[in-house]
Amino acid sequence: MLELALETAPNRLDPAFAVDVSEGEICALVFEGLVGLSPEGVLSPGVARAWETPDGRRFVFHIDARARFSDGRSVRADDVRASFERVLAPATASPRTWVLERIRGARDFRDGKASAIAGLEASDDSTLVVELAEPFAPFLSMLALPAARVVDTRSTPVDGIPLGSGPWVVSEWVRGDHITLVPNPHHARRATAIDGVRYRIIPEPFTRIAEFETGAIDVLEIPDAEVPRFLDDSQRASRVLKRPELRVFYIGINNPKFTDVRVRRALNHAVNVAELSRVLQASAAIPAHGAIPPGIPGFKERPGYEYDPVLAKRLLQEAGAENLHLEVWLRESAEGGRVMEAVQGYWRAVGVDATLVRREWSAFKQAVSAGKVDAFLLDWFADYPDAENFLFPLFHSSNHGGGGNRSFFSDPQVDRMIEDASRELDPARRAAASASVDSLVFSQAPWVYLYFPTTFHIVAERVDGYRLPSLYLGNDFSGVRVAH
Amino acid sequence: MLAYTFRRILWFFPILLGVATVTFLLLHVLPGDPVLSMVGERYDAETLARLRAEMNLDKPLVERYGRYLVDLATLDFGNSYITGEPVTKTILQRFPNTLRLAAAAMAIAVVVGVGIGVLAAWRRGSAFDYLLVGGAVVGVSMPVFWLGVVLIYIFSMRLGVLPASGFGNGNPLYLILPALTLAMASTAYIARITRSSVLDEVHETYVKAARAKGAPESRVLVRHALRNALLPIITVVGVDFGSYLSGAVLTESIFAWPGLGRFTLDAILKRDLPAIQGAVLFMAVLFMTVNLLVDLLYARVDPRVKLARESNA
Repeated sequence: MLELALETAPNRLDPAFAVDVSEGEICALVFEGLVGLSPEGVLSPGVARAWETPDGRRFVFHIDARARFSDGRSVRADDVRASFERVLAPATASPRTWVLERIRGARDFRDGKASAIAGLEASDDSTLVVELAEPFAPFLSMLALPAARVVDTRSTPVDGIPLGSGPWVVSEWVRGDHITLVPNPHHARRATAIDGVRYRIIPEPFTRIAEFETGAIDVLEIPDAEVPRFLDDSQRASRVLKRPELRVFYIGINNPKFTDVRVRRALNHAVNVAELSRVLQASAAIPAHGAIPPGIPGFKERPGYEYDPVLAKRLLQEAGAENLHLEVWLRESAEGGRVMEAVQGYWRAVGVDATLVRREWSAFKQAVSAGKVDAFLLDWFADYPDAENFLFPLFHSSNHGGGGNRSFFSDPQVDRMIEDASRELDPARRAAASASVDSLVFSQAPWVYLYFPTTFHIVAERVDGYRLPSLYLGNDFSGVRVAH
Repeated sequence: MLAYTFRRILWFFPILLGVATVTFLLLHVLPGDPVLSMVGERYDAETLARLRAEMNLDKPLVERYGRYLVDLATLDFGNSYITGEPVTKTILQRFPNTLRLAAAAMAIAVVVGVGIGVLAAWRRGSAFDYLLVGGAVVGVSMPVFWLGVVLIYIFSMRLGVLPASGFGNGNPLYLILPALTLAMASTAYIARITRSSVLDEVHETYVKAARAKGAPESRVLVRHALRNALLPIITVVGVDFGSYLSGAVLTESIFAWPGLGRFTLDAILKRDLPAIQGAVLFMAVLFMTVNLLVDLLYARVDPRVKLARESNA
């Protein structure tokens, strides 16, 4: 049994309702999508063994004849259709309908205006045809998301968990305590050497460390402050896995309030991000000179806003904003507090007076999404490994507020470029187009760009073959071995 | 006593109505939005509107309050917005864990606290007494979080004799550290109260009479003085036990204990209105029940205590 820990307890183990990382992580193991993600974040076959698309609008998926639900029944194309309908059906009230709304007729079905999804057809047991409203290149990646995973809609969910066809099955769920997964005996491509995975819910970082030290859990995500201790321990350093996260930390500036780009650039120039990275993450965090993290096609090295307090002061002066005061909102967390207190100090040095407003998540999200705050500290991580997952939600003007664009950035040219890039089917050209969007946005400094963090995990001596996934959806325990 | 108990239970209802109303209104004025906890970090206005309508959050406040009271009258707390599970079912699943922890902590606090208190009273003014009094001050002031971490460090990480956290499917070993952590403040407080109450009694005539009869000091203290010093101790035990039963958020978090406290805290952070309302009302009933039992116990322990109105009856 592989013993793992989760910080937060999953609320639901149903792909239609999975919204947070812990829910997504477990759903991705229990439910298969048409496609999946490898630990490296590469698209891999799932329920579909192959697919083709002539134009990025019409997709034909060939269902793998070996795909089975955990009760042994074959997965057919119609099961995929029914699963998509389930997520979009008004009666389900799923919060994740956006994942499938690109399909032609999906919105009408969602709003109860149509009895079926026009662009979705199971032409036979092994062929599913999906037609989008318009070409959309990231669609395949999005199909790896929990909401697009297949469930058996003909059986009633047990304990709130529908039947899935993934490599693992939930055998026990003691809410607030642990979830045990065992291999799905009918999963054809299963090649696991372990008899189960137990996720224990351990909210406190210190307790997780203690549980790792005492051998009760096998993999520990090392809290930032503890990283040097593990790396300096010569006996254990070799068991530390390190991976740059597909995630960006930033301070969103309320663009409609701070319209002068010189002020926004000054706020960037005033912050020594390299120093922040050194202190907070033992220099492992990569200073962000754009929103697309390394590892995602579209990431590009470009010069950042160099740390230059003199320039920052001059820009503020030119903009007539010498005595700038702003309120920066942040969530209650030790990590956020450390970052913002440092930034507060940097800003003070150039005459910017920042008040930190700490709120718990719900109140924070409400105020920030409503555009009521001057600035806020936030991070954004990839749900699917595609530049669109960063550019469209974070900077397209149709996503102001809850859609992800919480700095209320607006630029018709950027909107157009994002739309064009998501229609581009050639991967190289799309990566170049995404990089251009990122550059253009970066030059307008809608955020104070901070860093792309790196995550460190340590694996117990008794465990072999554990791969640290680049995304929470990318766990694959097939090569894991646990010594008894 | 039966009539008194019945009257007290009747009083539960208006109190619960008050608690329900205050909780409902507080949650209404609190910043934050339950729907935002359900949608993750990417959502659109239509999704919010659909979910609001689904949960009747788009209805006027008065209408929602009316529905809420009707549901309460039928003992239906509804389903959690976040987990979709019936709130009553979740509370009943979590409560036994909380009860286990609370009972273990209280047992430690009473046995150790009263024991130390009586010993300190017996050896009043001695080094032992000063040590105990000083220890009690430290115990009362010790932050639960810190104590929990220290205990895990010593007993799990260093000595490796006890598990650091979790419920362990009911294995009693898992109960020891959280129960000790939770019990510390109460133990210290009960020790102080016991010491001072027993000392108040030792100057009473009946204690002198017992001594004059030649009873050994231990018997004088335990059988005579302690028995009469029980009232304030029972009060402290009642209040602490009531609050433990509502869940000990910090202890449960450090020791990853799946109790009512963490459930309620999660519900509050996610603005899970049905879960918060259910948990708060459940706690109110527990508190009132414990208080009632404490009052009944007073009369049992000290025959001089007349329960209200009973003397007039």
